[in-house]
Amino acid sequence: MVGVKMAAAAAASIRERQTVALKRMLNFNVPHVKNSTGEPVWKVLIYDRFGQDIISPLLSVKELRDMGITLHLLLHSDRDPIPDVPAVYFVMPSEENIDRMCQDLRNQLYESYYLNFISAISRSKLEDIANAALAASAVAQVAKVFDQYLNFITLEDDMFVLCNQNKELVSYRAINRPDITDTEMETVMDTIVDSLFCFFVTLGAVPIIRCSRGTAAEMVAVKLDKKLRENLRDARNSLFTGDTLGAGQFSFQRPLLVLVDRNIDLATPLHHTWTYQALVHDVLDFHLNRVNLEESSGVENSPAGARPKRKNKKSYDLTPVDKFWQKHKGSPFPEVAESVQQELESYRAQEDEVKRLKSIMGLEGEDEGAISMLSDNTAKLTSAVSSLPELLEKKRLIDLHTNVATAVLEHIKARKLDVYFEYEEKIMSKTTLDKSLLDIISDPDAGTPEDKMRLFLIYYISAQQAPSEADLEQYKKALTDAGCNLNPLQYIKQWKAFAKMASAPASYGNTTTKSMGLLSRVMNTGSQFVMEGVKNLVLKQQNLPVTRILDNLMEMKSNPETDDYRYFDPKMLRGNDSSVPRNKNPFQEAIVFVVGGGNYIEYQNLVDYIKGKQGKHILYGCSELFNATQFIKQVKCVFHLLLLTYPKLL
Amino acid sequence: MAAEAGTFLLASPLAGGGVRNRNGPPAAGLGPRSPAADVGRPGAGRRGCGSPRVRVAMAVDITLLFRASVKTVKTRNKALGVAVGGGVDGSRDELFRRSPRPKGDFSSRAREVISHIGKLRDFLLEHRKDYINAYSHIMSEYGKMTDTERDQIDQDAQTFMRTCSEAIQQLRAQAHKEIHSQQVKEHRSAVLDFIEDYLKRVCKLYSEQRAIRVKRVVDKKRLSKLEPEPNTKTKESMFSEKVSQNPSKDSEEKPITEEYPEKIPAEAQPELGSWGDGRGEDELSPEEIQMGLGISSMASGSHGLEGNWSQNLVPVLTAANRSPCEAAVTQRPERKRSALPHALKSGAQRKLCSRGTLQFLNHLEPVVSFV
Repeated sequence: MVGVKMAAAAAASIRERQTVALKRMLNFNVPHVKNSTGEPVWKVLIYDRFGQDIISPLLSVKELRDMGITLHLLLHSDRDPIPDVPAVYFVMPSEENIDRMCQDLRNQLYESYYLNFISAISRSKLEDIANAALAASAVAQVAKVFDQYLNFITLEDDMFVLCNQNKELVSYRAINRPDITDTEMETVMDTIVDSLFCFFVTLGAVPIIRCSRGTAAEMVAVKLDKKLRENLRDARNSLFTGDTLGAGQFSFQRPLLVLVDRNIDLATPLHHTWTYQALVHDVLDFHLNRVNLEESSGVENSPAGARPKRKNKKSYDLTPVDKFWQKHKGSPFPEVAESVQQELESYRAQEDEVKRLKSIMGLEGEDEGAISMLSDNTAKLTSAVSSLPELLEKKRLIDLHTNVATAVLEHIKARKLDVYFEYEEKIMSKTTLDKSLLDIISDPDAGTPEDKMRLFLIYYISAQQAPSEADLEQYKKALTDAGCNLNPLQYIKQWKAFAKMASAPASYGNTTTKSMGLLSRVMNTGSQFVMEGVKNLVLKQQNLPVTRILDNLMEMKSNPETDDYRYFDPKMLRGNDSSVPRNKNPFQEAIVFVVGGGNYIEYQNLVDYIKGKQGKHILYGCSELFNATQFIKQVKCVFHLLLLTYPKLL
Repeated sequence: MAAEAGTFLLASPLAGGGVRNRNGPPAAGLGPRSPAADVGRPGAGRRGCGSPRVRVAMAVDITLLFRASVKTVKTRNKALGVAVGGGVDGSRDELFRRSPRPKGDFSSRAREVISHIGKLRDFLLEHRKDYINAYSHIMSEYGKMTDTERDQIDQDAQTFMRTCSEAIQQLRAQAHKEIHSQQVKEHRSAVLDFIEDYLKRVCKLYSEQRAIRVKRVVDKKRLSKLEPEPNTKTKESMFSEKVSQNPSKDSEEKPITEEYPEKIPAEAQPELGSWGDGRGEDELSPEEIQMGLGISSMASGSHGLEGNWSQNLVPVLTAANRSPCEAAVTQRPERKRSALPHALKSGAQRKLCSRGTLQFLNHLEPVVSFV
């Protein structure tokens, strides 16, 4: 039991660990202790865009205020001198950032400086700052300098991405473009490895690394192993010593790091989805846990319909404190709609109760009966009054999710996303198709051109045998008629030809989706959500390729797909090139990292997979998050470059 | 990461280079540059002063490395013949550099207010135990606190809180004068918000202990309802109420059945105190209920007196000569809290002095003239 608890503590805590690290940094680099009658301290926070992206999913503006931050400003902005205030900096140690910091020192902007670098600063750059400080006679004002090792963005308790600002640098396109030079590749790999290194420093564990051969993932694995190994050998400066590891959780159990390349599975990034969070990411503008909605008032959105009259822009943060989101972000959409309705009803009941008590209290004292009720109701009213903030919060969440779910539902209805989802699931699980693919593609009312392209690509990827030339021409014509650009198809053709398709991602499992019929409780109770015509589909767990690979490696199962994966253990004395795993026991804890990008569908699949397993935990990370639209764009880019580099290809 | 919450002042960094021992608490006594922060003992690595890098949980402290870099640069610049900024150690030049800068009226005054609020907090905490103590009547002469004294504390605290609040208001009014920078304005507003929040938290100490006191009285009244003969009891409880309000007697928490009219001293009879108003005691007035509610809501900070607390404070004070905490302890509108009779007051004051209150009162002076 103890082992389980400790594993739970470790796994759930990457967000917590990063948050704790940030809070300590903001507290002048000493642990933060809550003291209800402590004197206020104040400071300003200066960050660059990297720092901003790291902080914003973890700390709200209010929480920053609670830590005593009066102002938070971008490094590269106009900043006025503010006397008598300490400044906490949280920036990447880049050339231009260092220059700007030196300028701040020269201009005597603040009283004291607490410099925190997101990833480790080089000695020479440190000397640049020293130089500027000397020249400005400001050495004594530099109070503390820290390497924070926080160069990654945590979005969920169990999910992280590398970066946002320079994601172009480590994007799918960047890694897969044919014209990349060795130097450029080195830079990309170094960037990825630096972030992963920071991740493990923050997690406080040295993993055992497994990766596929001949891919970018392998390059990352080699470099990461080297970096971890070097750090462990350096006794004086090692970041993984005993008292830094999370309370000895990993003293007997080390986590598994599975590095995979995006190219093992190109169907999942294109897949239509049915779970709440993945849907939001797919159809709405969702980024770093913030969703931006354009609210149209009243007018229905249909493909051939009228434009909405008025558009309000609204943004919502979907955070860990949002209880509804935490509970339902992985739920199938109809369940979400139903739950919003239930929450609304429960809220109204509570509101009525409070109103009733309030009106009773309004009676002044004439009525004997009322007076005697008073003493009974005092306790009730006290609790009602004190629960008002909770009620207000509940209302806020209900409004939020009503708006978000409505926006999603509009897309679902307009594009018939339920049809696409169901069909794709059938394709991927090799169930017989009840409708012809050509029909769906040719149907003018179902989906955007891009939806059709996605569907066809999934069909093409999953097909055991390539369709005949005649069939292919038919499909191509239908797609072109529907308005699709065929470049992604060409790319996938090439990909399929070049990639190792021995154990193709074809076997997605043998289960299907079940349609629960069109009627649902939601429709009957006149809810906000008119789900008429939308299928009430229920997901059945089937393992996507990444999940399957993880399962093999974590449970030490033998499988031709993963048997020849490389094995690295940075703690081993000898440089390790063998594929023979030394560790024979199943792992309790694993981190899956996709080099080349990932998405919420993959994440959700892993979450569902591990849910059934007591005491086991998975973290999911990727170099960037993209939805299908963004992925297709990158694919088109790569294809163009392919054509330029290898004109004879087609 | 267990850290003891001490109250060390943040030591200012040493000028120039030099290895600092990071294994002990920072040197106290150096003037704080910024308001004191709680300094815990971070989980530093086993490496002590020798290494320029110190592991603090996950992050790495490279301050010493930085200082070493400064030395390196100095040496290098000397060798190259480049002038190092401001002399050998730069400190002289730094002082010179910094003096023409306006030291900031605002910050020093803000810190003064904070230190005053701190004094109030210390005072309340010091006497909290005695204030709340329910059994002071059976304790020794030294340990107990009379109701008079409690009232005195209440009054002093309220005056003090009012003064602090006014000081904050003044600062707010003056903070934005002659300042053109939007950032500085925003910064100052936030600082004042923090100070106000601090005052609120310290007032919470006061209102909590006051609420306990009030609740005890309300509970006693409830108990008095349980007596079998409502009519005679009404009179008796009225007397007992008066006795319990009797500030000149120390016996306030005696069981009700022991109260007798002969215990009421003549001079206390017109003294009515905050509760007990001649009405039938077997019903709780809505105000009394609200009193309980108001305090609990005040304590939980939810409704009732929400919003701009200090803005509410000033008009309430001027209007009714009461603190917001007392407004929660609502009385019948037509009653005012009567002042203690003179003779009693001085007696009580003398008693309180023995607890160091006089010193406290003295401290009020500079705050009041703090304009």
